[in-house]
Amino acid sequence: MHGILDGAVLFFTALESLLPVLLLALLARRHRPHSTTIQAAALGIGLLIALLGLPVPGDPSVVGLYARGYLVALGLLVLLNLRLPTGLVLLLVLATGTLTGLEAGNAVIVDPATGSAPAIGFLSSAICFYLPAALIASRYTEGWQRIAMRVVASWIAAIAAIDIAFMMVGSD
Amino acid sequence: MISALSRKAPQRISTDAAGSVSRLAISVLALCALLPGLALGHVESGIAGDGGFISGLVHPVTGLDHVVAMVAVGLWGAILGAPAIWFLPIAFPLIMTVGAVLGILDVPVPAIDLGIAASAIVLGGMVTANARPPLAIAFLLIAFFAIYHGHPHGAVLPDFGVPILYAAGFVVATGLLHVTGIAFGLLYRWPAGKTAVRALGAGIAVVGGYFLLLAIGRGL
Repeated sequence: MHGILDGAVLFFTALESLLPVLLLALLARRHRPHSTTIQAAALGIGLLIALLGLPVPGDPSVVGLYARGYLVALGLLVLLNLRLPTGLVLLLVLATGTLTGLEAGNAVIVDPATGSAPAIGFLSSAICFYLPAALIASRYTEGWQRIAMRVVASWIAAIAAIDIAFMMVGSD
Repeated sequence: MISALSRKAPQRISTDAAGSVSRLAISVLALCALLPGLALGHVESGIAGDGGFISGLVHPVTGLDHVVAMVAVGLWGAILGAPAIWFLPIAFPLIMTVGAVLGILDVPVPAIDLGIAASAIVLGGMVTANARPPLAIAFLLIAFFAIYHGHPHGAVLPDFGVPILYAAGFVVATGLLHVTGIAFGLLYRWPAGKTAVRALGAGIAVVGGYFLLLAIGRGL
């Protein structure tokens, strides 16, 4: 990791970072577009908490398992097409940011010499991806569009579940 | 009339602005979608190498018995109409994941080849016979077969680059096979299309029969 661009590219090339944020955008689509800005801020705060100081308790690889389990739950929430309270969505956004940041932490903050530049790149990418994705998702909510989003959510939940199994085998 | 137009004008401007924002947002996202291509340069990314996205994408389409059964799920969903048309293709990959997890964890499932061949026969038969059971029955049927289809994908572990990319390729390929079946199944609304879809269902059942004979020949 040598700079902001490395952190930014990491977000877009690591599915474990990209998919939770995509699911969040799909989850938040049933809320008014202006709350998207607040959610993006909450996502940034969650990532900041994780990237800049929150120590990982115990085995760092366990964070991946938790993150994937959380991704399955998030996918099922989108699949069920529930209209969650705004406060709960904010809480989920914050939790997603924190988990994603914790998992990416090792890759982003690996070299003290580069400082926080990769972390800033990672965080900026997450927010820059979330905002348009949530706005687009909130505009296309009828008929086939809604079904397509639920299908994508079910696929992401399935991907996360398979990855959990691979992690469990790998940790044996 | 002028006052009515002036009242509508800000709304029109607002709609245009929203459209521009949407088009801009779609363009930005489309550019973002190109970025993972950068990872092709990384050997460890797993996208281009063994055990990565392409491996997962190719795995479900390398076995004809898998392919025909998954297309049959889409065909049957299209024949059954809403909500089965989207419910079955969502349920199948999810339940198939359970089978894949069992395979990854080395939990044995008996007579895998027989189950996969039977799925093509039964699902192809359902399409041919224009069978319209209640959604719950259709779900139970495809859920049962989905376990059989998922298990081998998990059991045959590739030499990994990035497991999550393999999982993504595997799930996306499965979903796209369903979508292919649905797309073809939509022809069912026309008389000639109905014949074609039912003929395809019969073909799928025949392919399933062939694989059933092979499985029996190998002693299951």
